[in-house]
Formats: sequence, C-alpha cells, structure tokens
Amino acid sequence: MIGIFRNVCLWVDDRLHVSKLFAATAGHHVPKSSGSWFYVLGSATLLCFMIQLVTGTLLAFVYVPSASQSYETLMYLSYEQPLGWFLRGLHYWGSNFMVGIMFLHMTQVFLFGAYKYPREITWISGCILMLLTLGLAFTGQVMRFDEDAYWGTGIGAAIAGRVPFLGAQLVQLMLGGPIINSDTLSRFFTLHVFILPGSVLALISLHLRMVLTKGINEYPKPGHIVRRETYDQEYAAIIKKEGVPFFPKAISKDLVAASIVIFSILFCAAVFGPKMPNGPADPTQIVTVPRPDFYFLWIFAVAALLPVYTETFLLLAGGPVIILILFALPFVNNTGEKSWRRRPVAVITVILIYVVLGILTYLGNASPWSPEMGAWTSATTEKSRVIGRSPLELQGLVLLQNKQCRNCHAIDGVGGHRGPDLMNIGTRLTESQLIRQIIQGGGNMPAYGNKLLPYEVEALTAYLVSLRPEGQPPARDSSVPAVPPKEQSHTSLPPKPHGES
Amino acid sequence: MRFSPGLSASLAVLLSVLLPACEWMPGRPRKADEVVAPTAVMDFSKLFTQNCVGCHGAGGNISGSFALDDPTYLAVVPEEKLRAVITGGVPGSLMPPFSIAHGGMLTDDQITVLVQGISAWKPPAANSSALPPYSAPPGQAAAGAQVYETYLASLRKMAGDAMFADGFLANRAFLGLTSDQYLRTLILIGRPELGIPNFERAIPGQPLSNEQIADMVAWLISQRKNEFGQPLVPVPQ
Amino acid sequence: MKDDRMNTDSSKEPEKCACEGQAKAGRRDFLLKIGLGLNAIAAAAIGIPIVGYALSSFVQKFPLKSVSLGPVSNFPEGTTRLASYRNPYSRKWDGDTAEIPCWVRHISNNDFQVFAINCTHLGCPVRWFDESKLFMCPCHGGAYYQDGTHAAGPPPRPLYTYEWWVENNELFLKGGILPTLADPKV
Repeated sequence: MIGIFRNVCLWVDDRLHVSKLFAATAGHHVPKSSGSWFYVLGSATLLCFMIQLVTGTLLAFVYVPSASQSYETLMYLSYEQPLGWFLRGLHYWGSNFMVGIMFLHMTQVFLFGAYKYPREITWISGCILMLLTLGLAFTGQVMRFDEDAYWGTGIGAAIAGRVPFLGAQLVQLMLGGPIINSDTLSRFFTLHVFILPGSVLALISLHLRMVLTKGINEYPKPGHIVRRETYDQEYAAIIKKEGVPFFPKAISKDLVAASIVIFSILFCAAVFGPKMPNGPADPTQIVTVPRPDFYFLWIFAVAALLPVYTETFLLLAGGPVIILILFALPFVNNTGEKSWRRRPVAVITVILIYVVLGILTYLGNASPWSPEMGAWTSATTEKSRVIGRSPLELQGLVLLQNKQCRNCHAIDGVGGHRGPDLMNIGTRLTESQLIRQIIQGGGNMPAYGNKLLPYEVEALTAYLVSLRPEGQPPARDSSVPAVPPKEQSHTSLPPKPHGES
Repeated sequence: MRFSPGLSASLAVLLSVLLPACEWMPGRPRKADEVVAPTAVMDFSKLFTQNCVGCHGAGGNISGSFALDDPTYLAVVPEEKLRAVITGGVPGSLMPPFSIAHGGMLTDDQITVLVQGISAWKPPAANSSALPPYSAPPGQAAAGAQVYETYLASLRKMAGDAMFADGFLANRAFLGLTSDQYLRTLILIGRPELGIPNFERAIPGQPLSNEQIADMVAWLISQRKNEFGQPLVPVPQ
Repeated sequence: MKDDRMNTDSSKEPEKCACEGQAKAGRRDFLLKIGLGLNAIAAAAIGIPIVGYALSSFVQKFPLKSVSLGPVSNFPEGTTRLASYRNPYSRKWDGDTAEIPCWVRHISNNDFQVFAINCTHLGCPVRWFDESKLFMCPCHGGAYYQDGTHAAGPPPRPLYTYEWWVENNELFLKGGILPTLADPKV
C-alpha cells in the first residue's frame, strides 16, 4: 500500500518535476538575516493582490459595466445579493491594504538599499508594479460608477486635454469617444479586469523571478559596502554559510503577517463595510462635491495649490519625472552603503515624502480652497454675532448669507474656508477698506462692484464692522488721530440716524 | 464519500449562525443610508437646515432675519403666503426663490414639506382672528410718525442701546433694502429673541392696533430716500 | 518501467537529426526564413486591424452636431438657468450619462450665452449663484462672473461656450464633445 503510494508520487514528480520546482522556488536558499519582520511586506502585497483577484472575479458575476445598469447592479450587490456587500467590502479594503502595504514595501526596499547592484531589474519591475497598482486603484474607483467616478474621469480627461498637440486625441482615446458615456465605463472596466491585472501577473512573475535569480537582499550591515566586483561572491558566501531554505525556515514571519493582513481586511470589511456609491453618475445632478479616493487626494490637493502658470507643466511633467527618477535610482546609486543607518539622505527623503504626502492628503480631504456650496443657506451664526445688532446690521448679516459670502468665508469657523474667517474682521479692516475689498475684490476674491447696490454695501459693512471681540474698538484709519473709545463707537457706525426726531 | 450526520449538522448550524450574523455587522450597508438625489430629500428637518437656517434660524438658533418658529409670525402668516414666498422669493428683497421653476433648487413637493413643517410649529392655542392681518395697505404717514416715536421710546427701555444707534427701522439704507411687507412683519412679530417684543408687548399695556401698525409702515415708507438713484423695493401687490 | 522506454525513445531523436546532410540544413534555413517572413506579414495583417480597433477613438473625428435646448420661453430674460440636452453621440445603454447639462444665460431678446457645465480648470461641474451672479466650482475653488470670465481661483480661461442660435423660438446649440483645454469649441 505505502509502496504503491510512493511509486505514484515518484511518477507524478518525474512528470511534473515538482521537487525540482520546489527546490528552485519555495525551497531556494535565502540569507538567514532576511527572515526579518521587515521582509514580510512584499509577500503581504502579493497576498492582497490574490484577494483582489478572487473577490474581483466574484464581483464580476453580478456587476454589469454599463452606464445604464452598473449603479443598479452595485445596489443589488450591496443590498440583495447574499454576502455581496461583504465581497465588495473585501475588495474595497483589499485595495486600500494593497496600496498601503505596497508603499511600505517600497519604502523598506529603498531604505535597505535592496535596489542596488545586482537587483536593478527587481526594483524597476517593482516600480512598474506600483504604477499598475495605482492604475488599478484609479480604474477601480470608476467601477463604482457614481458622481465621483463621473467627475473624476472628467478630471482625468481635463488633465489629458492639457497635453500639447495630441490633447484632444488623447481625451477621445481615454473616454472611448467624444464624451464620458458607457464606452468610457467599458474601457475602464477592460483596463481594470483584463489589461492591468494581466500586466500585474506578468510583472509579478518577472519580479519574483528576479528574487530567485539574484537572491533576496541580505539584511544590510552598516559599513558593509556593495562593490560590483565582489558582491556576487560575497552573496554566494553568505548563502553558503548561513543560507536557509525559504520554506520552511524563513517563511514563518510571512505566514504570520499574511494572517494579520487577512484578518485586518476581514475586520475592516465587516466593521466599516464597502464604500458606497454617492449617487448615480448623472451629469445633470450638479449638486455634487467630487472627491477622489484617499490615495489620490494628494494629487487633488496639488491641482488646487499649484500656481496657475506652473500647473499644466507640473501636472504633465511631474508624473514622468517622478517615474524617471525612480527608474534611474538603481543606476545612479548602484553601489555603496546599503544600511539606512549610514544613508541620512535616504532617510530624510523618505520622511520628507511621507510628510508631504500626508499633509497634501489632509489638505485634499479638508479642501479649504473649495467654496462650501450650501453654506449661504445653511451656515448658522453664533448668538453673540446677532444679539445687539441694529436692523441695518442684521440686514447686513442676511446679505452676507444671501450674496453667498458664507460659501467662502466662515464666521467662528462655520462656512467655507476659501477666504479668511470674518469673526474679527471689524478689528482688521476699516469701513472704507471693507468697501474697497468688496467692490474691487482682489486676493482671489471676486469683485462685487456691479452686483451690490450702494445700500447693500452699506448694510454689509455695517455688519462686518460690528464683528469684533467684545470691548475691542473697530479698525481705524492710521491717518486719523485716535479718539477715545466712547465717542468712537458712535462715529464708526456708518449711517446717520434719520428717523429720530 | 459522505459527511457524517454530526459533521453535516454542525456545518448547518455554523452556516445558519454565520449568515444571519452578517445581517447585523456594522459594515453592512443599510438601505436607509443610500444616497438620494438632492431633489428626493423629503425630510423636513434636513430641508430646513439646508435651506432656511442660514438667514432665519429656528429652535433656539437666531440669525439676521426673523425666526420661522416665531409664534406670532406663525399665527398671522397664511400658509399660501408662506408657500408663495418660498417658491418665488420676494422680488427686490433678500428672500431668494427656492423652486426649480424660479431658478432655485427645490421641487414643489419639497416646498410642500417645508410649508407643512413650518406650519406645524404653530402653537395650537393661537387664535389668528384676534390678531391684526398679515398684510394690510399702509395707513397715514403723519399719524405714523407719532406712533413710531412712542414705539421707539418704549423699545429703547427694553433693549440695548447699540440697536438704536443708527436709526433703527428708520435707517435709510435699511429701508432701501426691505419690502413694505417686511417692515410690517417686523413690527407685528418683533424679534423676541433679540429683545424686541411683538406688537402686543412693544408698548407695555398698549397693544398696537392694526391701524397704528399700518400708519407706522406708511411713515417708514415715506422715509425711504432714493439718494443713489437705485431702484427702491417695489410695493408688493 | 514504461517511463524508461519512453525516455530512451525521445533521447534517440536528436541523434537521428544530426546525421542528416548539408542540403537538409540549407533547406531548413530557407524554411526558417520563409516562416519568419510569412509570420511578419501575418502579424501585420492581424496587428493592423487590432491596433486600428483599439485606437479608433484616438483618430476618429467627432464633428459637433446641432441639438435643441427647448423653447426660448424656458429661459426667462435676465436669468441664468440649468438646461440639458441629449448627447448626439449617445448609445442606447448610456443611461443618465446621455443627458448633458449646460448653463443658459438669457441676456436680452435674442441674445444668449450658453456655457458648458465643466470648469476650465479640471472639468468639475460649476454651479450658478444668482444672488452673487457667480459660477462656483466645487473642486478647487474656481469662480466665474456671469459672462463666464474668470473671477477667482485656478481656472486658466473663461468658461467654455457653445455656439447657439434661435430658430422658431427654439434654442439650439452645437454640442457633443467634452470640452477640454485641447478642444475648447464645444
């Protein structure tokens, strides 16, 4: 009985070369030092991709990539299809984890000098994988064919439209026609489920192949210098001296990390759920505030903050330049110190990139540069900003709402944040300065000169001058001598009483 | 190969426990949270906070214009008037039109929700027949001057000085910005939340009569000046 | 046992080939050249239609088409109103996306301005505010005056405008493409 079983196994192994394959792959020898917690990030990214493949394939059982039906199928998936919401949650959180862990992996590889000789191709294939993953994330948010997806695609088209000479053709190529419609969705669907995942699979094979042929980076020791002439022998010596088979000696931490990742994705999907579409992609429904998913918020912020004259150039050239720098890195910095302990510039670069991306993402989320479209009818005002005001000043407050000033200006933090908060404006600008600013605009404020009647300006400034902390006098023209506060409170109020007799 | 009965049973129990467990998981999307088109929002408090509180306030919130839950206002304003003002705004004043047909954002059904919701705040005991009508033609300006003086003197004793420094209702810019009806409404309902009582309590022991209010409005209208050559607020029909 | 025999069979084959003459080698080279050449032609024959299909929207021209926005009475004089038209290039399965919004400003009599909904900065939908006579964009804070000129924020040019005309009291425009900086004539 055991003999037959053994023979069958040997036969299978002979035909399929399983044991040789195993020895060449999972059983290949790695430096003992690479069995580190820092080295689990690559396999964790791969695991996320596997989850995405499985959940994505299953979602395609139900999802219909058609502009007229995708929204309904998403609703069906989320509310009616058994466990549909959970699969959507797994796919959504799987993508978040994949992007996050991928960047951690890239950071670790950079800090550990793993891109240096002889692993240039490993690094470059990893960079292409990063671009493909971001492509999957972008096309994935278009699959949630909602308002954000529609206008997000529009933003993509508007950027493509800035390309010189070929802009118009590129827009058509991206949209699959002259305008965003079902062809656009089908096109992004094809990218999302065929072209990009296929390319990722191909690149992963190359990436892993390189890990096998050139070996995994040994845990770098400070002071140990990489030289092209000697490195290969040194690495062979390390493998010979302290090499262990990846399976089962070095895989344990990867396994633990893998289970942590799976549990985390399960947890997030169950507790936070999938991201729900924010309304069907109906372009005539313009009461919308388009925002990208969080990994693109920093680009959204960059688009708002760049000076106008640099914008087209940086939006178009920025991407290629970053990619070029990433591709050139292993050739420019091919040898030398690997350990981050001896590479302060690398450490500072990483910190800088993370801080900048973090701040931009925060700003993109808060987007203080956007007017708050509904503030003019919904922003409330603190009691202390209303009580004690004369009818004219109260009318000024109504004007502040009516003329949509609150869309860009908050009072006590309530309202838009495009312009300065008006809570203490009365202490900073005099009546005539306020009038000038309102009439002529300037400093990114539109001019209201031909939109306001003189009485309206009078009421507005009367209210604005009254916006100041208790007991503080209004701003005064420096050319006018200061007067005791008692008289001042009367002279500062603009209109002379008429009706009192 | 067959599962033993025990294994099948425990699998069935496990599934029947796990599948419904998904029902109450916090991440499961609820149909109630589904994003609805802005024109499909039919919840009064949501519509009110999105469209009205900026200027009007209510429920303890105060703002530039009168509160829409003011009992005197609700007692005198006819429901149809409320609807007409929300729908088409008050041309020439700061009340904008809200219906889509007039360039606003709300459907007629949504305006109905607003009108009904606001009217529902009306105190049950209110007896509108005993009150002056919501609108009335202006009276005698000469008589109004006298009434306004008494009215103002009485209010000065009740509310802080700052409110009266620039002429109160007789301020020419204020008059240039408000409709006749707005003046009448303000005198009728006062701004109790700002210390200005309604027509009944403005002069202690002496409720203003309909005639007195109309006279005061007439006098205030006569104080409007067209200094800048700007269009004055039209008299509502 | 069976395996061993098969292994020996296959290992004999190269020997057999090695003992063939020079003529056969020459013929094989020729065949290789023929094979490569034929495949180059075949690759072109199959590749051209494939690339042509994939890039069709890149080279295709989409001329503007006239569409109606409805009777002029829908747009009272002195107002700016949201209107929409059915995209002339729409498909049956386009759903809501077939309906394209735009802003119609009726200046006076037969004088109009029809603006595209898209902000000239990055294409987000601008919203008209009649009280302040401004178009505001929800994405990056662009603002335009009532005639579409730049008022504030990052937009690099005035709002895109449609070519319009009035016929039998009906407002028409030429539309059908998404306006971008590369193709601002919607």
